[in-house]
Amino acid sequence: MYKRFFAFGCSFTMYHWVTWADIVAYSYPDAKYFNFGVNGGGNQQILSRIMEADQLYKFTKDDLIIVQWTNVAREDRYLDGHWATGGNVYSNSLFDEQFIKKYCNNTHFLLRDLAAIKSVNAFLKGIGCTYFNLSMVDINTINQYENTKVKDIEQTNLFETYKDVLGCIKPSFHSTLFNCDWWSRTPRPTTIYSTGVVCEKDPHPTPAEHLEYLKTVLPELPLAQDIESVISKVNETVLSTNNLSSLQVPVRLGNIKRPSGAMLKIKDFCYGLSGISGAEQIYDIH
Amino acid sequence: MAYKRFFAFGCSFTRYTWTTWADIVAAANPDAEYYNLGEPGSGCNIMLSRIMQADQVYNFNEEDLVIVQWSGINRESRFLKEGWKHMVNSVHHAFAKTFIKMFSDPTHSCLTAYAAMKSVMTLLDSKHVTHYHLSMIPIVDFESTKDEHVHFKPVDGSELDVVKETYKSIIERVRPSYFEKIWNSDWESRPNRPDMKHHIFSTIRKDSHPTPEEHLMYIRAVLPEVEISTEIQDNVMIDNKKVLSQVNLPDGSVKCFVNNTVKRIVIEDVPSVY
Repeated sequence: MYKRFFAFGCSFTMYHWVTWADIVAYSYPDAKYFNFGVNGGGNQQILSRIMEADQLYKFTKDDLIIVQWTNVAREDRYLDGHWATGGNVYSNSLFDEQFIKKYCNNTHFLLRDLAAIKSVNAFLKGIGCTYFNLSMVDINTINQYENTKVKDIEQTNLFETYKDVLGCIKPSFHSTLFNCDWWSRTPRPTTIYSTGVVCEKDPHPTPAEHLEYLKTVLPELPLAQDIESVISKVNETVLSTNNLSSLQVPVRLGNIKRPSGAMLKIKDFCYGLSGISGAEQIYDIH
Repeated sequence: MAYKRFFAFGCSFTRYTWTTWADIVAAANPDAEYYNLGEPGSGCNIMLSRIMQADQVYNFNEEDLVIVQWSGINRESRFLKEGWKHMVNSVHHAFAKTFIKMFSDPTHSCLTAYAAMKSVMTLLDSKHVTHYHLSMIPIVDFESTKDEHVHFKPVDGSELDVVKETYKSIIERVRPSYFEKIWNSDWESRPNRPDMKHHIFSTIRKDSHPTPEEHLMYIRAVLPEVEISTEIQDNVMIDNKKVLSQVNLPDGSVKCFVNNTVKRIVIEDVPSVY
């Protein structure tokens, strides 16, 4: 059906365990799977990666392309040979208080990201491929850790200007699964980050939550018949393993192979400048 | 083709206190409503944002002409409380040197600028808009233009080459720059500059922006698709004489766009586009 499947997004797309992207890939075994999700990546990086990917892979109408937009208050910088993608600027060690005070403005983030979302949608429409827009948090939730919606008049005007574009984005994980509170669902897995920090209640969706999200917001995309049972097993593993670490072999679907070879020419990523690369392999699901 | 609307985007090479290439193109398309949404200091990221907003508001179509004058790709614009602020070059920028030292990276500039260019080109292609892309300085060999040099970090040439190769088909769609075509790749090559009272230093300096005549030369060199009548050329030269014969003010003392033959709608006239 689809010849290739391209997924773009943040850690909700590529993580230590199975995400929505892996579930889609599992459901379309004939499609070559490209996962360009990046831990901590923002929407600027997503735009850049999509354009770069098209330059290299030439998207066609036979492709399935799904973009998972993330929260707007992120700042992606390509520095010293890596995309430094540390996530939300308000909780990102790369940016100090002075930077936030002087250079961070939510209208700026929205101006930048709404243009990116429109660009990508116009671009994919022009390709004629099958494409969908998912989201980690609702775009008008500026700070992913607060359920504060846009009130500012400038920002409200921007939402009005881009109303039709925003209408293309499916409801977010944050609102659909978590009722706008990341810690509303239990139990949560425990994760050990590469820095050694233990995250006892990892808010990233579990494999079962990823499946639930897809079934809720993307019913038009049929999934594999055995997906429920497969995900159930993987989910059990994720919840019962208390030391999931980015340094370990990720929990994934099936017999995962990691072929060598860069997907994009600019291939190295790091998470918050910690030096741990990730995120960019071809995953052969079967 | 008779266009119904003409949209120009760019930096101070597009919107200035005297006639620019955009005003000349507008004069050559007298039936087209003329929107000059350029802003001095703009970088590629503001152009992407502004073009996408403009499309949301004006819904570009096949009867439109859109020309984008891409600026220095090292530039970065941020929307702050006071509005857009621009990091232009080592002298004129709103950002602290620590910001530049920490975050300026030529590969970042290339990756984001080329993605912006591709985004704009594909949008306009998909809407069957006639569009052209100009440039102030080379969008590839930008390190050679010392006035736009803001980077303090060494450049990994091989990494940049990979990015440039990846985006080759996009880069090729951008016409040669003013720096190459008019300045022969040397900012000192054209000494007869207009006098301008500097907006920061309040002293009279030689202005490095293209004169009306230089804009005319550029358009004739890189955009043969636009026919420029003798009358328009004469009017541009009238403006040129005015610009060269007086001390100009940054607030637009000349205001003689193609000898007052064009009326332009500027960004301040469009409150729904930031």
